[in-house]
Amino acid sequence: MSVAVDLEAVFRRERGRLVALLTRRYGLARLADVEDAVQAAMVAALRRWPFDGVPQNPAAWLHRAAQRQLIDQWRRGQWIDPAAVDVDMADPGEIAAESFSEELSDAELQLLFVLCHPSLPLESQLVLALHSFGGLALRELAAGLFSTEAALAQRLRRARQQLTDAGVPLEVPPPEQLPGRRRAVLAALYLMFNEGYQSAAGEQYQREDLCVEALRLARLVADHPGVGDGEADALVALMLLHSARLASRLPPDGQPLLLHEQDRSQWDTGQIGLGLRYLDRARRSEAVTSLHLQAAIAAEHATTMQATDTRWHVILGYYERLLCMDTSPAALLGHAVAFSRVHGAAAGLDLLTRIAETRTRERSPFLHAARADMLGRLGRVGDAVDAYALAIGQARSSAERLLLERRRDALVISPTRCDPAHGSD
Amino acid sequence: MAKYLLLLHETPAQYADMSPADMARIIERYAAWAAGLAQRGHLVSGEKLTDDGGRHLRRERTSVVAMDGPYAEAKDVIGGFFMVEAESLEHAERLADDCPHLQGSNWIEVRAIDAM
Repeated sequence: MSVAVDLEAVFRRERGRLVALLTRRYGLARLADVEDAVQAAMVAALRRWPFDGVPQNPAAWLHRAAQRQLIDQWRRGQWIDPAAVDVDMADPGEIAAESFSEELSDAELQLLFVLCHPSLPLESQLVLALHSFGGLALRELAAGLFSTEAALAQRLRRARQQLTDAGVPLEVPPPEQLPGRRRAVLAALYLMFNEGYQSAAGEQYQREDLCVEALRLARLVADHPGVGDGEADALVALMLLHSARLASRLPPDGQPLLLHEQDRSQWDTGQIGLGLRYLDRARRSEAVTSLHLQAAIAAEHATTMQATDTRWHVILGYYERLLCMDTSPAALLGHAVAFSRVHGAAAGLDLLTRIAETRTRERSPFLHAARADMLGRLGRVGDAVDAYALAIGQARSSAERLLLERRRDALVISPTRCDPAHGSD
Repeated sequence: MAKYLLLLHETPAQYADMSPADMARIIERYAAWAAGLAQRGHLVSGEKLTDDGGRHLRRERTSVVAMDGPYAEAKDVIGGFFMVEAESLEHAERLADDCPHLQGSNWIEVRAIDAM
């Protein structure tokens, strides 16, 4: 048997499509059953295709198998709602055909808007979007969300129930609600991508699967004629410009590299080009949002082929505008780093000290690492080593620890060889 | 060359929590493995078995008694088999040892077809 298609892409995509399509057909109250059926269909493929080969049209095969699973569930009496019994009338062939129609992205968007409903806590939105829609296992999600598998399963059950009880309609919100609801979806997708890019827990430095899924869903929003807007475009641009660096950020040897250390010829120019096109389209917004500015900063880095050529004054300008609307620790830190590149390490250090005083920080090594770097640039090697020790204490993966130790050791061995253009990654 | 049977034992329940991407990767590895075997002329056939466990027949005194076999939920079921041609049992083992089936609690039973 031969594989002419990228099965991984097919499975990722079809998981969300099938759940969306079948949920639309059988109702939101059936969401959990639909998820089970789709998972079972994929397991069936996993157990059959090794012997039979990959079918000509894997997507259609999966659709038929999921449909059959639902019919089996219904026959076994697992469904108590008699209103849902048009099941056995449904022709599996029909649903397979439907999957390739234009209707499909509508079904996915409708489900995405429901799963990211503002009546649900943000963490529940994330779990629903990642697990129910994206098919990521709870076991994998638990670490990233600082939770346990059992707690997430319970949260998922509660969230599904809440959606059913609240009678949230399975639809793209009407125009008057759209801006607020769209922002909620973008916020969830932003978090999803971030979690993939800076994996906050577990031993993984980055999780490409989260990044890929977040990007796919964000493009769904941005590209839809009735739903997309400039802010969604900016989010897609931001994700693409960061995704372009994933491979060079963590080379095959497992030693992560900072932005200024990366081999920029390895950056994915296709993704950068596409990201710039989305950034261009993001101008259709009436206002410049935080996402626009973040994407603009990412674009500056992505289009600078030598780290030493980085236009820090331009980046600092974006950060100054960003701070008017976003005072998150990440924005403050990014600003301080850019500031230090334009006005010197001592000035940057002052800013960092103020952040440290005013902010109760989450567990993250970034602030200490930035301090250590600036101290090193000032030649205060002893203080820098102390700051690295604090950063290493807060490292969230072994790769992150390796990176920080390597930076510290480089400082001790040759304190004068400090690079002139080092940004945060 | 002699024929050998690779019986693929598995625990279907272990797949319940696997992500779509992981499943796709395993299937792709399978495709490559089977294609490699076929190319080198070692692959005779492969079939998936149903999960219902089939029926077990035994003669008890004068009549044959039939019972259900183990169900899919059972710990260990034979999901399917491959028939391969190999020089020796050791060779057959080598053909099987990079089979993508070997992950988690899955295992492969290699049996020689008795040609005598």
